[in-house]
Amino acid sequence: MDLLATSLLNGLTYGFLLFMLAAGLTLVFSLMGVMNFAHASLYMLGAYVGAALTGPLGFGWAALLAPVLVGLGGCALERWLLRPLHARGHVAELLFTFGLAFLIEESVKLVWGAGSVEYRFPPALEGSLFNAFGTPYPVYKGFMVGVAVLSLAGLYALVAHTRVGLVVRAALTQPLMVQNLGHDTDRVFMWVFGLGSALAALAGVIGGAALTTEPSMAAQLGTIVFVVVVIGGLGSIQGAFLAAMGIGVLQTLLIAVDLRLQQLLPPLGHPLVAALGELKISQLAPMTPYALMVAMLLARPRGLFGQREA
Amino acid sequence: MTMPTPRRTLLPTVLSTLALLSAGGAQAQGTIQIAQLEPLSGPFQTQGEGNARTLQAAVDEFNARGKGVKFEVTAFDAKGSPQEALNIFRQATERGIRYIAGGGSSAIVSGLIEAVNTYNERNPGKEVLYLNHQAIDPDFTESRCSFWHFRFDPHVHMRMLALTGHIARDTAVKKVYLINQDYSFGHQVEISAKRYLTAARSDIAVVGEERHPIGRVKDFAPYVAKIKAAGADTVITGNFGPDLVLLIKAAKDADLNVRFYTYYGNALGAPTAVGEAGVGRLRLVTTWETNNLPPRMKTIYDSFKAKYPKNDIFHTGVIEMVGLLGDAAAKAGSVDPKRVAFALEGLKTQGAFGEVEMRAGDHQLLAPLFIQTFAPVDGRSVKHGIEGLKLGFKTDATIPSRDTSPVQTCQMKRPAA
Amino acid sequence: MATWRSAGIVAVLLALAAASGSLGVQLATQVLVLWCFGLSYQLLFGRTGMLSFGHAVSFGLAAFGTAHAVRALGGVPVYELLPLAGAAVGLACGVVLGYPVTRRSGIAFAMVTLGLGELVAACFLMFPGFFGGEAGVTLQRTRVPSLLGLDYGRGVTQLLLTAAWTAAVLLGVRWLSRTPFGLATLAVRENAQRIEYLGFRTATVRWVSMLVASALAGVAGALSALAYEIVTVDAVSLHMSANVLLMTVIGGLGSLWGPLVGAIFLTVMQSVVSDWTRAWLFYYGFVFVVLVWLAPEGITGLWQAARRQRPALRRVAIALVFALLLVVFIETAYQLALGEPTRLPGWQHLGPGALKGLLWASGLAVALLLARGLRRSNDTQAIA
Repeated sequence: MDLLATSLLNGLTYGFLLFMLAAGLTLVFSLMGVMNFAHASLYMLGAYVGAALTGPLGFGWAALLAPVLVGLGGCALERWLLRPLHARGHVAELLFTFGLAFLIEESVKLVWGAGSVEYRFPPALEGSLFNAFGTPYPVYKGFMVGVAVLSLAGLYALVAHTRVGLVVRAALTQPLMVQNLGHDTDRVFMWVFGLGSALAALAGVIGGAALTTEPSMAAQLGTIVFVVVVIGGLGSIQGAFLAAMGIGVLQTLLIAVDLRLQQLLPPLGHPLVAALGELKISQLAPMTPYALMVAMLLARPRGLFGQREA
Repeated sequence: MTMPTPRRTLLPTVLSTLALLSAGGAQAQGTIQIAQLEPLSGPFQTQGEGNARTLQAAVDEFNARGKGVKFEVTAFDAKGSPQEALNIFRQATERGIRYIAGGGSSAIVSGLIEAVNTYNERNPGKEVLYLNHQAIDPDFTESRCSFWHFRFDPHVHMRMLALTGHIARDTAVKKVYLINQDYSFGHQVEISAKRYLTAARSDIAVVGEERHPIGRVKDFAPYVAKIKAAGADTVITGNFGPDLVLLIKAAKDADLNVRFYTYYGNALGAPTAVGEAGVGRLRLVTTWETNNLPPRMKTIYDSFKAKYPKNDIFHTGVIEMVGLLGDAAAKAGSVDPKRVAFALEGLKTQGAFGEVEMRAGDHQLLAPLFIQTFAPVDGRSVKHGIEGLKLGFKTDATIPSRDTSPVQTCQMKRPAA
Repeated sequence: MATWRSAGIVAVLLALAAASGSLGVQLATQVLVLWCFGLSYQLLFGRTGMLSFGHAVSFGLAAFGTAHAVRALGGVPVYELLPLAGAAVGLACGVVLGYPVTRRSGIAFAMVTLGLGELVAACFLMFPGFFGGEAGVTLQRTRVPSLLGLDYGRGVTQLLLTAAWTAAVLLGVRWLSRTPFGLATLAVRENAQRIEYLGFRTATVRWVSMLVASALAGVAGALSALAYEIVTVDAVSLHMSANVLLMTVIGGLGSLWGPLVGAIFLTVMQSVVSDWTRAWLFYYGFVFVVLVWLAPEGITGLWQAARRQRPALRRVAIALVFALLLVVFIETAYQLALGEPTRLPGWQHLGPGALKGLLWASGLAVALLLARGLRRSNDTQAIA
């Protein structure tokens, strides 16, 4: 019971990190109509920039400045590189962001080397927040959840309760009309992309310190984030939240399960099935997100809450 | 200083070496040319770079001693692909290089051994040797042993023998948890741990065994929770890279103060990423240590650190390779691979940290091993920081090679001398 | 005819490679295998517009299947027909994975293929008997005797067999492109909705296209297994799928020679350039990104455009200067970052001060040229 409860708590925490990444991606998808393969690379850049700034400026300032810098970089990316590709269609944009992700990973190795970089939370965030079911819950995880909740709240407030948010929402569904009404939709898109990038970088600043900061971190987390966005529904922030929580909890809980498959499925005698039956659920856990994504795309490509079909 | 030479300048060297070899001198004058294959790009770049740099430092030290034989190394990027490694093998043999070293992963080494065996079968008189300095899968000196393969690193079971011997002497250890990556190496660590632990001390219980997918687990908190629930006081793991780092970090978060015995705790950036969380927890069985450096090792270490302060040597494989090859060439009076191979068999000589023996029966090097713990630098028990940190490894025990000799199961087929 | 002339050129190049020693033979075989794989991908993506991130699944599973077939068929004289086994496995992949998947299009299809590819790659540890675990599956060509009595232990003979099969695939794809089905694939790519009104079922066209592409990828996988005598899990990985995507786009999606150009480019980068510089992956990615942005028709597209209308000398000159400056910048950066000189001539003689100066100078020049290029292309976009 203790194990399950601890796993649930850890799963939710991991889910919040996934959500920060997925929120930015789904936002950008709803305006571009295409998955930004370089989104996880912006996460990685956030971690590296955060690590680089923590030395001279301390963690607090680094955590504030890194997302801003990467966000501005995202704006520049959208304005100069992605905007001209809009006319060429989704596939061109997808290919370009795919190549860009590749290029950013190599560039990171160029500047910071191929190994991992020393990047940790400051001593103020070490130690434990409370004791849950016999296991201490670290302060930095609480910090991570806090930042994620604040950014979700901020995002929601921005989109639902401000004039700017109103324009953004309108531009997402009726860009031409909004332009005719005098708003500069191009500029809106640029800032939305920048916001998405800043969110990814913020996730990176936290994730890089909590996990490891190394060139393969983008590739490792990248595909899971796509899974979250696809399952939650492209364009829906609530969907991204639920899917992130769901996947975080599912993956973490399944790892705790020690049953072998054969204990769940009836025996069938065929040697292939017998070999499958030997596998433990915990060994299959990291594969479930992909299986879910494939199932979702085949059954309901809209995702749980999506407005647009992929 | 020998630098990797591009194609153009190699030809005159090759020609002159061939001329030398065909003269068949009685003295071991000549150059041993090694093609070193490492993953110099891609996910294992740090490992490949580390090996390439260590080999260069070892070769510089050897060449500087002026013992007649000289080494010349050309590093190739195997990129972690067996197909690419095979291309490089062909390239190397075409250039007349007859010593192939490294590879990067078990798969590549496996492919290279096959390629070398087939090549030597089809090209008598032009044989090449394969020098294994890092792949520690026991099969390569057991079921798949080959006359043309030599391993310069103690393999999985040998390291486990050292580890379990040390653990057995620690009466505080009662419950051991095994957590490993779910692939051949992780399985071997798990199986050998179970086998040798129960043999070492009957009251040690293995309270759990876990296999997780390699490189995919981002949060080890559930595993750490399981370890805690099982009441383990010691963990043995073959994890390396992020899998190891995240495990140790999760252990620190959960306040799990148990001993983590690892195979690669000093490699692939783990010390840098783990940091303070590893102090007292992170332990290691290794061939390399820096607290009692013999003079030759000190030269190698200093020259390496002078150029790469933020990196470190993490095992002696390439260093032993250079030392033993040099001695074997001197003994054989030739740099011809077949003669050197016969000279290597059974060779007993001063290795990196003491006497080593290249066992004739299976071409496995028998060398001492160290058990270390991650600790702050204090100038006495921890003399040097690792990877530029103020933390390093303290040597808890030295295990002599006779305590780690594995059972010989190889049925070696030898060519005519 | 132009095709015969091109075929003649390829035959001459092949003969040169065969005569150049075992490395040349191996590389030529590699190029041909990649060309065959690229042709199958071109059918899927270039013609039918189905961007797949999991095409290596058919390729890799066929390679494993062929490796096991060789082990099982020791002694039976069917060596030349082994790629058919690969095609069968590929076809099976297309059937099993294809039908539900091809009912989705565009981004959904891409994501599904990505997920499926990751799933299959993650499965490799679950079936060590088939995938051979981490070490993969090795095979020995000579175990299966030849139908024609040839010795496939020699690399040259294997090269000729590979060439024969690749030529067959090439001719097959060419023939297919002239059938009504072939034209329908183009139509599906351009306007899937309209073609439904003309009586074709888009889903069927896409599924058949996927079946054929998977079967052809299977042939390529079989050839790869036979050429290297080892198959590892990389053969089904995202890395391999990404490679075929990058390679085909760089080479050019519009022409049958595109994948060949891409294959040569990839092989040259991987096996030749990588000996000279560590930055080859960066250059590879950079070329891809630049081509997607500037010349989506790939290298063959650029070549064809250049033949129709010779580009202004000034533009070519600027492009070359930019390339040179970029190489200087990247190599200098690598040398500073890694502390080791690259193998390109000249760099090892530069001291740290000179290197830093060179870094700033070339970096500034590259940035200026980039900015200028971007601004100009953005302006033309605005006008258009």
